[in-house]
Amino acid sequence: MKCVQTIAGVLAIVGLGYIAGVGHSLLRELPVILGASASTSTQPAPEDNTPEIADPDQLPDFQPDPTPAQVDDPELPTDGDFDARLDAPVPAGMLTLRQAHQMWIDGAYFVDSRLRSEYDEGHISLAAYLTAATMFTDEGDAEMQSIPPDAQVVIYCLGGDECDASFNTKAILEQFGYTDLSIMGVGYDEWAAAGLPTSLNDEEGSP
Amino acid sequence: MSAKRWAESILLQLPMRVALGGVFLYAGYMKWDNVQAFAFAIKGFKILDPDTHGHLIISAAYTMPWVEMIAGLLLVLGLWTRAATLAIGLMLIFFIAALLHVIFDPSVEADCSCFGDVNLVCSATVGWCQVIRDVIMLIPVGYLLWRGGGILALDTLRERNCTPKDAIQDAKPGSPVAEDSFRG
Repeated sequence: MKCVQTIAGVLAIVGLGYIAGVGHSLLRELPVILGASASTSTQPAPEDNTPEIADPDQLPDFQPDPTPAQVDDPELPTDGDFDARLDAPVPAGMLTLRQAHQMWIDGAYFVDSRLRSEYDEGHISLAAYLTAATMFTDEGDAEMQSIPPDAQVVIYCLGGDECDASFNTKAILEQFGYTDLSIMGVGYDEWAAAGLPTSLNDEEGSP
Repeated sequence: MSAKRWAESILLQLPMRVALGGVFLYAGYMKWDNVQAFAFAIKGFKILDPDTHGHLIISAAYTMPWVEMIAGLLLVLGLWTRAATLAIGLMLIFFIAALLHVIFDPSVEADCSCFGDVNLVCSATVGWCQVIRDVIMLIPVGYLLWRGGGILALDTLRERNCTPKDAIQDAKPGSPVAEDSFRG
């Protein structure tokens, strides 16, 4: 008899939780969304994945104008390996490293959607930290206030099929009215390995 | 009530109830606080296909934090202790199975989000640490299922208030239970 009562109690707890959850969903202003997944939304990289950049030769000589003290001084590789890194194939619909870097030079906002600890260990220079976990906090609000809804935004995480975080962040930013959102096909590690600007401090926003 | 039962209640059952219930109350609150992030976390475990069963993921994201909080609160209070403990035990077994699914499937790399954005004991990325943590939490679950919430649980009051009436209805006239009930 006690056993039956215990099981009935469990069912009551789950039922109560479900009813409370339904009430919670009715009170919530924004619907919960799932967005796309890295593994399901992307297709294999096309063979010809040449980025549309007017003058690719300018890229190795990049030096945007962030405050020098805030950015690591990258020593760019000079061999052909560098171009290979910039043009490494990415899943369809995502930015190659070269495209992403060009957008960084052009002043696009970069959003880091990895774990906080990974961001603290190093991130793309001037990138903001914005993930599904921080989006509805004061910190997330402050970050979004600093990025105009019509701005070009590039989101990155670990790259490729390894994390859905960029897709999740993109889906939520779309909910908030951001329209020009792109995902960098490679991850932060590839950006750093190519010698592109990284930072350890809290500088965020646009280069 | 014997001194042994008091000692067991104070030294074992109460700390177990408060610790286990508190952990679930906190974990539930952290998930409730950001349902969207929790839905993404469930999706990241890749147990359900978000394209075909997205509605189940969203239902779970709304329901599970409440179930954790209700079960945790009941356990801390010692009210319907065994039911709350069993609910927590079943959730722990489900969590362990989900964690093992991620660990043994190399194509899945997920963040635990066990406590929302906070990492308690283990790092965010799913690994054996979370499995061990959940298995350790099953120890008090087993003990509380076996021994109940103890004298200091609210169940004691509830049962004391219920027993005379129930006993009058259930027990046959003249039985010891019925006579005890009439004595009050």
